Amino acid sequence: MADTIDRGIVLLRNAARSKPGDPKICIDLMVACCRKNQTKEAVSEFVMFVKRCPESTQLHHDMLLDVSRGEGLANEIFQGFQQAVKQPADADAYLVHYGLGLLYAALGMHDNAIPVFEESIRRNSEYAPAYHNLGLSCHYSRVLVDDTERRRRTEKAIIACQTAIKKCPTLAEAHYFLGISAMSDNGLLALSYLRNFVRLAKPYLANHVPGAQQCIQLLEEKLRRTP
Amino acid sequence: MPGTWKTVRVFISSTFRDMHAERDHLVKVVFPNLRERLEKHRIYLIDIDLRWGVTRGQAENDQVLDLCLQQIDECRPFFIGILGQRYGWVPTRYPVDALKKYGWIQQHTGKSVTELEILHGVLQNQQMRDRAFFYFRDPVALVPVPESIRRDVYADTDLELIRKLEDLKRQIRHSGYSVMENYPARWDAQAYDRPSRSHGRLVGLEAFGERVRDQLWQAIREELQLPGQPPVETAADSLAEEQDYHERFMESRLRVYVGREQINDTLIAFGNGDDQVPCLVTGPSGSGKSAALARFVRDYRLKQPQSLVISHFIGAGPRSTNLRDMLRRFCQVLKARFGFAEEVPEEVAKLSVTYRELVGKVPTGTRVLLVIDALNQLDEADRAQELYWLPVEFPPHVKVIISSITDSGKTEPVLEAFCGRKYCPVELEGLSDAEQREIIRQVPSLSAKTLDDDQVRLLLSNPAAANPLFLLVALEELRGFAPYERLNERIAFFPCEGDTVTAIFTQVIQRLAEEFNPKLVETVLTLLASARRGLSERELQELVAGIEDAEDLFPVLRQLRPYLLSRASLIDFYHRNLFKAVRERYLPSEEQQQQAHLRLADYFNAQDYWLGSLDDQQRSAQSFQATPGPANIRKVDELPWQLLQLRNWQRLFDQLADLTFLDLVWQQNQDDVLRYWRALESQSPFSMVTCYTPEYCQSAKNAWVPARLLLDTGKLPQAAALWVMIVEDCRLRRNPALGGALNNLGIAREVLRDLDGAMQCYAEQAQLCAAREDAFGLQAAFGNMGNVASELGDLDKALALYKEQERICRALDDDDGLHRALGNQGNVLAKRNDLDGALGLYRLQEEICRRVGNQRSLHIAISSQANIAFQRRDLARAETLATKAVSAFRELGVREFLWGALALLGHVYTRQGLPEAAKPLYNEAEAICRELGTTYYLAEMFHRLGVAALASFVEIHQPSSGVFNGLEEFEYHLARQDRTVDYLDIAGTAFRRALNLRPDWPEASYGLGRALELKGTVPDAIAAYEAALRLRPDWPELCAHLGALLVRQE
Repeated sequence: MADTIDRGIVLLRNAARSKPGDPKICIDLMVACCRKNQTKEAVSEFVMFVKRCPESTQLHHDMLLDVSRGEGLANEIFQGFQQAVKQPADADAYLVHYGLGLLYAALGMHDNAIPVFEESIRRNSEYAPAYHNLGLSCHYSRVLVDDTERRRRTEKAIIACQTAIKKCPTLAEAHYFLGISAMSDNGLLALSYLRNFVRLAKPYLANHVPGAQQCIQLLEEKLRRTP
Repeated sequence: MPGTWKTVRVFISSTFRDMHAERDHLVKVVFPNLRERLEKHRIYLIDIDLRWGVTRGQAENDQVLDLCLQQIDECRPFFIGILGQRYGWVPTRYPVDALKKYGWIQQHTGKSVTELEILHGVLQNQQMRDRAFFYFRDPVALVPVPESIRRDVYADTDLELIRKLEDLKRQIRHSGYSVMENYPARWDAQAYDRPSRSHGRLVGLEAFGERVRDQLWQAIREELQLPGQPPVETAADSLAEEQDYHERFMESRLRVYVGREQINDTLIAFGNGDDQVPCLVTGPSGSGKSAALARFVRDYRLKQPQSLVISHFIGAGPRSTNLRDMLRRFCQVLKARFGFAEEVPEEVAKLSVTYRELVGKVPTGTRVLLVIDALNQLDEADRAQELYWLPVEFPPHVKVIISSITDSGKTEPVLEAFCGRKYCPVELEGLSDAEQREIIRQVPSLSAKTLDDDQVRLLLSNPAAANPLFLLVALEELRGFAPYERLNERIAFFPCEGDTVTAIFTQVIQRLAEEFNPKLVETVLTLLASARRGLSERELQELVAGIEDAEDLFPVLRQLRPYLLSRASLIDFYHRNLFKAVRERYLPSEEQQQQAHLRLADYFNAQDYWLGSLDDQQRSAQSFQATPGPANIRKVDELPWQLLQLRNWQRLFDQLADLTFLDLVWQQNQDDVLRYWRALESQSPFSMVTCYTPEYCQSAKNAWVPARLLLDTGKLPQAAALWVMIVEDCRLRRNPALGGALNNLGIAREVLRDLDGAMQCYAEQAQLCAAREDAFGLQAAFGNMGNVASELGDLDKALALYKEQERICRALDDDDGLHRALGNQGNVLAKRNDLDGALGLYRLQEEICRRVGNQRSLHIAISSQANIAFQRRDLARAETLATKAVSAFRELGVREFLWGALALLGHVYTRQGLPEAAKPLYNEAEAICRELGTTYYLAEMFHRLGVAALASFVEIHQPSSGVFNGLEEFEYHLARQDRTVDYLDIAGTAFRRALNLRPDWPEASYGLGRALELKGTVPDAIAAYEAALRLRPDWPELCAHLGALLVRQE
């Protein structure tokens, strides 16, 4: 069994050398490591991938979602991140926190995610995806809080995503979020964000594009009707 | 000119009964020998010996004179007079017809027919000097002849007749014509004399025969100014020769032609009209289709001399039944007439395209008529009868007239092929009463007076007489063989129901069997019916040797002559009904047919391969790829074919394993070799792979043909092994054939995925071409190198090479190479997923092909565009374009691309969720691939089917979002699943079939792995992936999939 997994890892690493940014291979490697209880290595695989594709934040989230929920390895990968954050800080520590935040978010634990993303930002204030995911977690964690807190988190979410765009103007995911968020209050602004998203969307976001285009169409109609 | 055939007729004049021995000797020994000599100079020799054509009744009714004098005129200037001790029969009165035509005979009453012949033929015509020869038998030869026989048969006893004979001989001697006096002969009391059906006849006529032979040979040589050596055949000669066959055939069909004015008018109106579809003339066997077309061709040429009328009577010439030779002939004639620059290719697929192109280029100011008779008799090879080679429409000034039989007892594929086409129908019906009477009047040598009105009425009361062939055979029977007093009986005996034409031929055979030795008649007819392309006189002589009365072969043939066709030196049945009658009578069972084929196989097997001497063979064999001496084409043509008919696989294999023989058959007809091997490999355990090994071939010289054969049939590893041997030998000997050998080795390696090896070959080929400043070869080599670079994934290099190819082609103004270079560049861009760029190049390719009228490549470009549409998932457009390409390739007969277009259309249907619609397309594509022997590509087709099925599965079950966008989409996918299409099974089966054909194909193993993985059969998927990995260890996708499976395996 262990030999089989080892052989699988060898093959996957072989494949990863030829296709360094392949998320599927990275997921498989993380799964392999988790199944061999090499959870630290699983986190390393994730961190390596993020370093190769730093802006693909939706992809980062979905990968951890796949490993934790899809593969049923939530405990193993969580354990890996827990261990990793306890390690002496190094240059990649912000990515470990970022990953842990994403894992919390993937498991629906947005309240837990928020401080971890904040820690990531503290360690590297220039890393835009951490802002974006902080914003998302703030946004998704609004449900079970009171109105004041909800408004606060909503504002915080908007500010975080705006910051993300400031840090990385091509971060399509943030444009999408801001566009959708602004639709009811500021049609023109929403239109601008959504158009940016359509322009910047990478292939892995292709599924979001038709929805964004539909929103753009609605907004344009609405704006045409409104003097 | 060496190309055309000429006919020389020699009239033999002598008394009849006493000269049987001399005439037999001439017919059996002298004329066959002369015929053989003259055939090398393309001259037919026909000896006119009226002994066989004149009945006693005719002789007694004074009808013989007219016939004799007429034949002498047709034979001028060659004449042989043989005299013994008989003056011959003296007519009591001269017939009115003869007196009208030959008034001078009135001055010669009381003279024998023989003397009148000599007077008419020679003595009254000094132009016959040196062309007419006389032979007087030594009277001493008659001394041992029994008195009664001598008086009755050999010597006149009437003093008046003796005086007249001596007078005639003196006159001949004084005329200055050559006379062989007292030629020797001797009486052999034991020799059988067939005419008298008793023993005792004159023999020892060799000196006489040799003199006749030498004098006639010399006279014919001088008359026709024949060179010392027979001419060497060139392409132009071969064209002229073929043309000559058709002209002669027409001539033979027009000797008796009556009526049918309406048909002729219809055809002439069609020829002058603007219809763009072919005209199809149909009618039952013997209804006169050939004659009607011959008449039309003759009349049209007379009326429209500026038009080009190309007539092709299938069966008229030895090459006329073959589609390739027919198309080549058409192309060459058009090329010669209009000065077209196109090369006339060898392959049928390319030929049908070139033919179409040339027809399309005929200048509008000239009318061209293509007349093809008996299309149903076209060889079945190359799927000729599917008519893909025949355009559906022609330019208005190019007219095509075709004839086909309608009552062969089976559905004619040719007529079936016409079902889906538009054409102008012309149906030949039976002869009218007036036309039948006119034929009776016109038939040459038949005196209408022998049939009185009642007899004519009796004959015409038979409904079968409305068929011209039946009527002519009936008249021939009545003319030559029915005793006068039994004519009514004979007429009443003619068949009148069922297949009357075959039945009357059966009666002809029956009569021959009664008149001659039945075994001889049976042997001659069964052998002719079983030979592939007929038999020569000499072959028949050798084949019947040993049979009792074998010397009657020529009399038998003479009686069959009206129904036989002479193609070059070969005699064959002209009428299908005669063939049918022979088969029904003598070859009804498989066993009997096999015996006949065995006889012929053994006969040809005993012959040498070569017609040249052993010394010649040894001398020329020292050169590379030598063909030692003229091959024995007859053996090459007949022997393996007979073995195939026998289904004697061991002998056929032995024959093809004989590399010398293989080389000869290959040179003669490559299609034959492929056909024989296809039969061997499908019906016996023999295979060319185990036969043609380098060890078996031993030397490069022996390996050329096996290497080509293996390569053409997709036996690539074995082909590569032989090509390696050949290439090395070429390098060693600095053989100029090295370039070609490298090219072939490159192809084998390329398909075997030894891409580096292939690249080396092509690169060396390019160097050779560059050194020789062969720009055409160089661009082709660059194209090949580009293909390999593309396969290697080095698309930049591939593109650079193709661009270089393009540059050379532009400099050479070589549109053919240019569009290929552009298409190849398009393929590279398509690989790079630059679908727009690829499409642009394919369209450019399409434009060039349209401009130069290259239909084949045009549809290759369209097919490529269909591929692009398929890749873009624009399935509707892909379907439209692929359908168009399929239709065009089918019509053009471009099988090597048809299968690909069919497969693409199948992939489109598969992706559209219509695998049932795709199935027949795949089946057809598979059949073509197997037929072409391109199992490599068949494997590719299965692989692509697997890929398409996988893609369909993924599209349905794993939409890219991973989540259905609402219920509507879910319902849509659910509905598609309800079609119970199991794409994974389709994919799995397809990949497995691909692997059966190419077990060492990692991509197919990988595809199988994917299908199995998606199906959930993980262990099998892992096994498939592992198999792929062994072949391609560094394949990232494979590593990723296998790795992912392994890490998840419980």
